[in-house]
Amino acid sequence: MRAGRDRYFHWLVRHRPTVLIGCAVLLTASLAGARRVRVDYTIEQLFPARGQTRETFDHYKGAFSKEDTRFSLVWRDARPPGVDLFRDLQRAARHFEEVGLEDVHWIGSVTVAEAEEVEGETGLRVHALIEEPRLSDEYVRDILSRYRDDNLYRGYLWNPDQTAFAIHGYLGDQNTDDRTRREIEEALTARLETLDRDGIELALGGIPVIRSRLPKNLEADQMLFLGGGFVLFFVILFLFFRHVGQIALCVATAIPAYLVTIGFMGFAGISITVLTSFIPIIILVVGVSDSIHLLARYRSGRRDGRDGKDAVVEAFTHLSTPCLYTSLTTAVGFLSLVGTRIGIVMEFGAFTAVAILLAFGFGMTLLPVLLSLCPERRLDDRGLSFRWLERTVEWAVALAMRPSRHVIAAFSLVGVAGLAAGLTLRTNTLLLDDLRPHSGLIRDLRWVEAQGFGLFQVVLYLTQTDERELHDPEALRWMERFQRFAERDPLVLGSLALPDFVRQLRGAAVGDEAGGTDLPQSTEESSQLLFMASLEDADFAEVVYHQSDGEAQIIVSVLDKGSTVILPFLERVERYLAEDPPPVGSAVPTGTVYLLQSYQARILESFLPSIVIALVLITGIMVYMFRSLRYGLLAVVPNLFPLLVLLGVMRLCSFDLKPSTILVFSIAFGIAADDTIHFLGRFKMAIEAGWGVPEALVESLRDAGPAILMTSLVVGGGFSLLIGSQFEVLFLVGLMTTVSAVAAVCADLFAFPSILAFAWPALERRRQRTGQVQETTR
Amino acid sequence: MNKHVWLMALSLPLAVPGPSLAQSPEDRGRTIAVEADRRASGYGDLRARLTMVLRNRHGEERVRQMRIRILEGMAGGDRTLLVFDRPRDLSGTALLTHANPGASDDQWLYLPALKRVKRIATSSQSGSFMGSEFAYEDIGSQEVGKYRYRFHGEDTLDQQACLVVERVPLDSSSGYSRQLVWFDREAYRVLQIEYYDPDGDRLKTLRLRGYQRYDQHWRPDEMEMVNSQTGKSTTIVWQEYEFDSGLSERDFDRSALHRAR
Repeated sequence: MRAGRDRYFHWLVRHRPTVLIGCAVLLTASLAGARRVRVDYTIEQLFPARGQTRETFDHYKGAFSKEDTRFSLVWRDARPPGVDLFRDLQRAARHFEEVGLEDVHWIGSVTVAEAEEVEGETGLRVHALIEEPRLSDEYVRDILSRYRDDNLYRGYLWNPDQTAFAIHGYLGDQNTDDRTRREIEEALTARLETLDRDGIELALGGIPVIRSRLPKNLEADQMLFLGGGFVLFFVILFLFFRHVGQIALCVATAIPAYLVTIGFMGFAGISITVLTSFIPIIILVVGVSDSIHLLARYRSGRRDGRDGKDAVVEAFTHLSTPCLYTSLTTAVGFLSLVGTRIGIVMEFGAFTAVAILLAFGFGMTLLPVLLSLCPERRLDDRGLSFRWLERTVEWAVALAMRPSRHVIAAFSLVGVAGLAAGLTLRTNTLLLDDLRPHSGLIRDLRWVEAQGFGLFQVVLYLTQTDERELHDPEALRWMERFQRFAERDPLVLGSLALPDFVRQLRGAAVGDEAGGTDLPQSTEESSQLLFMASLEDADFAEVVYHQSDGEAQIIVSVLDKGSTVILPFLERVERYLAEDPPPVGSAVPTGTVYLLQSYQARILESFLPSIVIALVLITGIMVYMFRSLRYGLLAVVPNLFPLLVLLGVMRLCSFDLKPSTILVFSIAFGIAADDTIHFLGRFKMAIEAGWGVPEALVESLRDAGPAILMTSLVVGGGFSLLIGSQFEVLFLVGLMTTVSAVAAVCADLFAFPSILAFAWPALERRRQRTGQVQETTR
Repeated sequence: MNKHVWLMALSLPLAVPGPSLAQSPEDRGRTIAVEADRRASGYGDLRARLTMVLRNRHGEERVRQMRIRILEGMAGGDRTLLVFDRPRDLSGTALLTHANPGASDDQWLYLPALKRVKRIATSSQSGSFMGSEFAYEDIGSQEVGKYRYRFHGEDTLDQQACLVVERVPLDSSSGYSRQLVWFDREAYRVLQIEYYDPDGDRLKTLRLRGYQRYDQHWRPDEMEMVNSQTGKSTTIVWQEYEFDSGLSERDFDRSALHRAR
């Protein structure tokens, strides 16, 4: 095998132009695919791709498509409501229309059905809640006071104490693509800034606003990482290599690997999502880690007097197998995410795995060719003999030469403490989990919630199943019962359903007579009232009822209090539906909130299986790599330690288990395994060469130790930049990958040698005894 | 003279000379519309039964049945009375409309469940009629003065030579930016209307089929409106036409609503 690798790398350095042309062709083709890639940050991609829940949601969205298209401006004003406030809101509403939003709702446009005298006859009029021609301070206050607690307006147009008012506008059917949504959001934000002044507070909210601003924040963070990360990499690597060309070579595998991956995605018609946008960061880290090991070995060869090409062939022949396995284990770590069966996570896992393997491919083709093109001048070795590196490695060597059970006990204790802490971790996901509390967007959205406006809705989707229509009085009474049930929950800000509209309508038709505001007594009455309303305003009640399609919804506005509160509420809703099903048609909970919670619950459910799958697969790869069950199982030990430390750190920092934190485990596990493989690979070779365990440990530590330390420094340093991110998931990836890199290096350099020192002789004796028994039997 | 879309289908079998080719497209379009309107006039009054079949996006059907009475207006516009028979819960509900040329229509609704007549203050033009694909403005008065016209060209539809006229609603509350109307060359019957939404995209298409001549009046048996943006459709089937049945103003006053069922 080694001879074959040797011949392969010799062939590569002899045929450099062929390799370079081949890579150039591949990259050019990939660029064509990369141009086709779209960026897609839609919320729907976070939902389960299939299943009953998704089907119900798709049906619901086909009927009531506006849920996710609403821009909402909340306006808090120190002045008492009156003409001035009306005029200001009117100006803001005009801005909504100017930027292309439709169905702009505010106190001057939303309708009310009222009895009215028309030319001496009793008539019905559906008109704007506050009509401009009748405008006066008293009139505005009178209307607001009259409708203050009306379900149709409270929590939608004003807060309970009427100190904050809202304007809502909806994206038209043709304006729901990312680019248009973003243009509208930016134009609206710019216009609304002109209205801001002392005495008022404004905030723009709504799912389209989140969708528009999240990618911008994400791009800013990616720039921070890619810009800052490169600078940091450069500084650390320069200290190590003292050679700009070789620093550039460290990223030479990452960039083409990413390009080709993006090319694949383009040809496969797959978009860049919030998750796959992390691929460059991951590839950079993984690619750089292997490159550091390869370049360190190359430099070592040069220092030993080999010429450039020989040093290249020797280094790559020597390390190609460990690099293959580090790439395989990392790729498998990510590939295990396919087990979640959630489209966006599966894509992320699969394409990251592809990118990692491509990085390995380029590392074994392009990198040796580029390295062999480097000038033959003497290299500066100061960096490689970095004093702190040597000191740290020697400390590890000293510990390995005098193995202590105390060290193993200390690491075990930390591990057990981490596990114990991890068992008490809380599972909790917020709907706005993407962002950190200090980000401007989340501050605005929380402020909107604090004013008494619900940003999120749990929806009960009702469909007619037989001749009886959903405006049947029995159905209306059931809807109202459900509303009362939901509104008793502290999570719920308010609810809206057909009975709210029908009551108002009946009041307008019957007037002040006794029972005027009761629900209709018969289906005939409901039908005729709704028909009467349709003559005045075709959209009357359309937000909750599509009579011709036999579909209705009950909108329940909820606070974003986290899954620990929302999931039990959803369970209560489902229990309620089971105990008191609707007398007409069927009812199922759905909506974006419901789907997001389903998605997050599924990721959490798949957490343990995906980690176990990753562990089993990585152990299997290690067993295969070392052709030894012992080596394979031993290699797992130091990789579990960073995971246990992560659990402890999460508990200490009060982080909850949620999809973003779970993804970090897979990333951390994949990265941690690399150091172990490099270390154990050297150890195995030394043992096979006939060295004793202590000597093999010393040799392995001195050979692989500096590169392990450097890669950990690069990984930890690079990822630590993300701690400054506005995104919860990036922040956690940054913090926890840094923690796991430190934990992994500690485990590999300080604990693992001691474990090997104690375990190896015992294992060896057992192996020999087994061998003797087999010999005797034979 | 006010005309409903179904009345525009009426035409007199008079051989009138076609519009002059020397006219501007605007004049020519208007001339065609005036001619079609003239041919649709003079029927006096009519009664008919309508069956409206609504198909939703799932392909499910709902049926509405109603009776219609129309009295051709002399000076003050047409009088229309619609009485609903199906669905059962709307049975007996009656809608009376007095069209007012140049102004909004007067409307009264009789609600049998509440035994009340309600005056409808302001009618929603662009709203859906009974949840169908027909808007109130599609079935309401369509007098010539409500549109700006432009001759669009000639076409063949169902092997009939047609004149195509573009008309733009002058009322800003209309739900359409423009409409294309296909008149057959022979009798100026409306064969098809395409409706365009405010963004200029085609919204729906009305096809009028099965024209039959009742005495001197051409009437379609079926009108189908297909919404090309939602896939929903509505078909209205006309039956039991009765012309000049002796209806008078008394049959279209407010008190007639109670008697309508």
